[in-house]
Amino acid sequence: MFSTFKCQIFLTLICIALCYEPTKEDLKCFNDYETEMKCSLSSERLQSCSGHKLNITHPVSNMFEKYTCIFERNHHSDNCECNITVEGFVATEIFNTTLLEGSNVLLYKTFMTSDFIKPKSPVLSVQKTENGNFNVTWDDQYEKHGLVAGNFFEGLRINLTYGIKGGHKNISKTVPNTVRSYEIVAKNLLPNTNYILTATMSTDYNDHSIPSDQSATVEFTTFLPITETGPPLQREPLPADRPSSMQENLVSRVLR
Amino acid sequence: MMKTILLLAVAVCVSSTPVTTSVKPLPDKTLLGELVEELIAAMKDFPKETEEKLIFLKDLQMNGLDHKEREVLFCQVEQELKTKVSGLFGARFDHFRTDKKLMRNLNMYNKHHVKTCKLTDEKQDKIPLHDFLKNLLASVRIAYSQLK
Repeated sequence: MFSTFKCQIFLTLICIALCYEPTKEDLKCFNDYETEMKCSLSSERLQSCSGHKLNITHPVSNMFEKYTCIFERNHHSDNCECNITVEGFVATEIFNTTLLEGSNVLLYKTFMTSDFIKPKSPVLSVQKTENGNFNVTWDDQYEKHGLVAGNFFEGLRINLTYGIKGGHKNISKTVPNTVRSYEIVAKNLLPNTNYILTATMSTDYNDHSIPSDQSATVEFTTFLPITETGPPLQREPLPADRPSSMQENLVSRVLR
Repeated sequence: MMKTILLLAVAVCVSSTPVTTSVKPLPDKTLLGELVEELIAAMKDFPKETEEKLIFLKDLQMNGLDHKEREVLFCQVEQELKTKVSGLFGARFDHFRTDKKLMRNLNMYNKHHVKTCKLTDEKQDKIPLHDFLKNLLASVRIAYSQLK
């Protein structure tokens, strides 16, 4: 009997070491408040995504919408991920999720829509203005007059971060999405320098608690100042590895 | 021994209960704000024309209400729209389908404000759908402005 008991302890210890028992923190879901809900499962002990799925029930006006979200490995993040398409979101509606491995229930987790909104990443653009500054504009990626309410647009905020390429110090500016543009004043920047700019968006529907994924990086370059009197300043010869297009005009490229 | 078994049984029961996240207080401002937008969009499909006067809804008291009375009103509005408009055939009635955002926002607001919906007399006076929506929009706007 004692050896059976020892065997049980041994098996329990083996299972603790090898068996996958996720916690609710391992399961994360986000919605874009338009049509998509994405979930990810992450754990060091999760050997394979195969067989793992999420049964989702979504009460809508006294009916239940049901979804099955089947996890697959994301090779970039190494997490198990799945997504479903929802016909529009309402701030206080609930999504009840059941994580299954085969038919085995691993955990239950409930999400309220507004709590897990993660807006879409913005797409940035930079143009030089007539006065030599840099006008930043962006596309919030939401379809206007679609499934997303104007209130949601008005509550979006964009956080712009820019700094010298390869540098360590960045400047962050947060502006409402509704302003549609932001001007970076060139005189506050170093001349003849490459800068990079990225951005995230967040919503006041959840007090800006979940920023979007970072946007693609946009690069812009300041130029040497020209004096008001006398000849233009002599430019230093450019290093051989700098692109030849870095002359008087702005260079703006999207790096992906 | 019995105490140990009892403690273990309790532990098993507790560990098998669903793991849920806590639900934060209801954002009325969000629901009402979106409801205003959805009503404005819906009303565009119902200009004041002779044809749409075929749809009549109860002339619910929508003016001069306090907060509690407005809660009761919104519940009655949901019932009225569900029974008389949600199931009507035609694309312009799509706004009022129970799976569309107008009705969903209204439903969520009512779920957290009214426990039982006080139904009104069916013999009550009726008004055209356009007027019903116009009065409702005004009332929702007032409720929304009081939250800002």
